[in-house]
Amino acid sequence: MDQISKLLSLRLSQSVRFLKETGIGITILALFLMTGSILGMIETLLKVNKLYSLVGVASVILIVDRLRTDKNFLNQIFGGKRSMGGYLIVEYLVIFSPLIIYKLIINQYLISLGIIGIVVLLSFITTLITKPTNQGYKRSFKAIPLKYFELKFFVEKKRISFIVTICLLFLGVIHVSLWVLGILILTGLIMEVFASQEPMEMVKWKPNFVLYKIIDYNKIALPILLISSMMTYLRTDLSILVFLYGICAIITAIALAISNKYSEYYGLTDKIKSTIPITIITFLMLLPGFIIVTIGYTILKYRKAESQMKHICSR
Amino acid sequence: MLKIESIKYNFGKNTIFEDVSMQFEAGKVYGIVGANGVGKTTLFRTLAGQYKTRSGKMIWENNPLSRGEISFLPTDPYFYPYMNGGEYLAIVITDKSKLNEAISISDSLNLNLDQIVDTYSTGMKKKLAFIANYIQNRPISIYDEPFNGVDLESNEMLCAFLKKKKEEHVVLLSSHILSMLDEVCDEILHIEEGFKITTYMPDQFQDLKNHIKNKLGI
Repeated sequence: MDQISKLLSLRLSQSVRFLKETGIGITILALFLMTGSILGMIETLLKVNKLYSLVGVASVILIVDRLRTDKNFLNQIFGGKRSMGGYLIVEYLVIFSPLIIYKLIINQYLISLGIIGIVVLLSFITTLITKPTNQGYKRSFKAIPLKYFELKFFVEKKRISFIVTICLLFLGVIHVSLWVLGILILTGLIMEVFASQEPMEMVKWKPNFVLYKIIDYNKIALPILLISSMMTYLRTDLSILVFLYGICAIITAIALAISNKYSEYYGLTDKIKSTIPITIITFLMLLPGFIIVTIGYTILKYRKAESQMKHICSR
Repeated sequence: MLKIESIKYNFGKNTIFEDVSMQFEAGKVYGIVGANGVGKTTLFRTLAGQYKTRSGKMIWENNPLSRGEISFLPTDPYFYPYMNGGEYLAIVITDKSKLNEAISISDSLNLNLDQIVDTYSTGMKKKLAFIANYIQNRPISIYDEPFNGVDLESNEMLCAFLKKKKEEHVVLLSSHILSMLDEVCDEILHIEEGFKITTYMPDQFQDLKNHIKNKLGI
């Protein structure tokens, strides 16, 4: 029990330190701007069919379990599945407590109990899933040349995410919301693609190195974006400006991710320091008009990146 | 005694080891050496329960081996983001008196426990995870390359801790630094291609060196 409370208080300290690092100002700004859309989403989620909320809870737990990287560590410190399962129950109950309380308030006692039941059941089931930290081998994706190694390595590691995102863009012909969802996910993936730094030996520096890299990646992105946008535009009543805004957002996201990566480049570590503030700024541009702020920030980052690469590589 | 009987592990079609049997006695430090990629880490992860064996048994004192009996220091220990050294020790070590011991060992190894672990060097992270493992006091301790990235003085201290630890425990450790293994190990198991294992006793450690040199023709 003592260990569980220590882990929970660590989770709280982590959040406070994260807020301090990201900057309280930028977090408040992000929350303020996103409140409308988040509240709308929560309202829809809470109103959905009673059974859907149970399925939703189960899906969230399974997705979080798949993504979490601390399972081997938890296994190690708890030394047994029962106590680890106990911790996971408490953690997931804290996450779902607003939903459980809401269901109690609106007199859906059985659904509240159902959610708790699912949390307990899945917490124990997920302790049985062993998750290797190293898959050992990966399949090479030869269609992408080594010049685009960031994308190539990402696709080799997360092939399904990449294929699903590209498919969503083209499925805009069925409904425009699929195209919008594709743009949203692609924006997040771009940050992830450029979250790692290559060793110095892999950098073939030349003047305007960062600019050429941005152009190279946009050469791949633009045809996909233009074709999928055109196909979607022909099947919807939405203004062409929406599609142009989406395309601009992706181009800016690519430029910002690459500039951010090289503005912090020292050739010493394989991960960039923190992508959280950059991710927030990137997602802010998806709100109408905010792209101007993101473009301005990207220009600053780009200038820093070019000067950093010149400083590091031209010696 | 820890007994491994005919265990097998494979990544897809690639079999890392098959039909491997070994025995480890309490009160001894076993060094595991072998070329990169031969399967040392996979063996450790299998023992620690992170990888599931495809067949065979692992037995501790005549009962099936359970996860709670093993403390495992991986090559790259896991730390939560934004966590400091003190918080890490407090989470891993439940016994308060032992926690104080861990804090005093940290002092002797020059670790600042108020510092965020993300900002530690590789060696500092290794030392922190080593202390937590050492203090956990489980009957079987596994250390995967504990000396890597750690400074000379601290390595000497780690050796002293390992010698003390072996008194009531089974200690398994892998390293590529033969001089360190020479200092602490009671037996060295050399794993070669196909998971062929040769055991060397302390008076034969020089033979292991000669065997490697002969193999390389130097």
